[in-house]
Amino acid sequence: MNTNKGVDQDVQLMKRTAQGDSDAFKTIVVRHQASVLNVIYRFVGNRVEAEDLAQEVFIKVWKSREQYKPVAKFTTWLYRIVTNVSLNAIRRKRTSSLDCLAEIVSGDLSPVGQLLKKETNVVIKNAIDYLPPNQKMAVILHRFENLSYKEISEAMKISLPAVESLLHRASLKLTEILAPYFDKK
Amino acid sequence: MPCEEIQNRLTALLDNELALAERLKIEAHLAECKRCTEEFQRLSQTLSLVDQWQVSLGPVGLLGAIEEKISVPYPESSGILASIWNTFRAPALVPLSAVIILGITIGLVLSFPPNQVWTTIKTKEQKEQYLQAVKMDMLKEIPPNTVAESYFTVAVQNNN
Repeated sequence: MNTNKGVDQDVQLMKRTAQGDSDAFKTIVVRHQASVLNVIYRFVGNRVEAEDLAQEVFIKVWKSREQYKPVAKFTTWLYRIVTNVSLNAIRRKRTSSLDCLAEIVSGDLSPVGQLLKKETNVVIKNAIDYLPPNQKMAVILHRFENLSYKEISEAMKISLPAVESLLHRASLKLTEILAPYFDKK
Repeated sequence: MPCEEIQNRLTALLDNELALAERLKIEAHLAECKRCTEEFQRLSQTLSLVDQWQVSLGPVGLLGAIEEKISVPYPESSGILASIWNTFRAPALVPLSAVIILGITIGLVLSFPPNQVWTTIKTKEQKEQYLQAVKMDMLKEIPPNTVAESYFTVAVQNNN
């Protein structure tokens, strides 16, 4: 989560980027590339595709730098671009392949622990993959990027009640899908 | 509040997204409603599990590929003069190049005035005389009352 200092720095960096400062732009890329890639990877499920889309996000940031207005947090604006790029990608290609190889399980676990962890990861990933794109993106932004409902509302350009509805319906769907998993345990 | 309305707000409650007054109202309902409490616990269990989804993609290095695609290989210079240069560099380059090329072309053209006299010279002998006269004229070596001057005069007369 960004501290206030980090938030201010992002705004300053983006203002300099808007003036054509490529050093500032590079700093923005380095600061946010991991988060952007994580969101997109969780969304599309494929590492190579996620990297391509993440690059597309930052290229859009550069190309629209002169239109940037610091009326909201920089990350809200960034995640709006992430959302658009991700949803457009899914619309273009309705399949998303599972890419379990990219998921590195913690080395602290025993081999059995690692296997169980990997199984859990796959189960959760499959469950989230079942969600409609809008619900899926809202879940990823909230649960893994810690965006508030208000921030999600701004990033996805939907109302606050719509965000709450998306996330509640996603929770219900996930509960239904994961119920057998809980029974097994 | 009816149970359906309460249950619709349970995810927001779990996400700490409710205003205090609403949260207290719902929690008061949960304290007295077994059905809603069970639903609350089911959702809580689901979201706790979902939160366990780990993704670790290792080192991320997108900068090189991004730079290649937007052609920003080097950092731009700082400073007022550099800023002015960078602002006007690209837009000015093309018209500036065009002006330079045009200037060179015009200069070349003007340095070779149209030679209407040459087209009227018919014989080889006259042409040779004319060339000799022109050459001497270009070299500014035609002294007055000399054979060279006479050649030049003849050449001009023959072509008039």
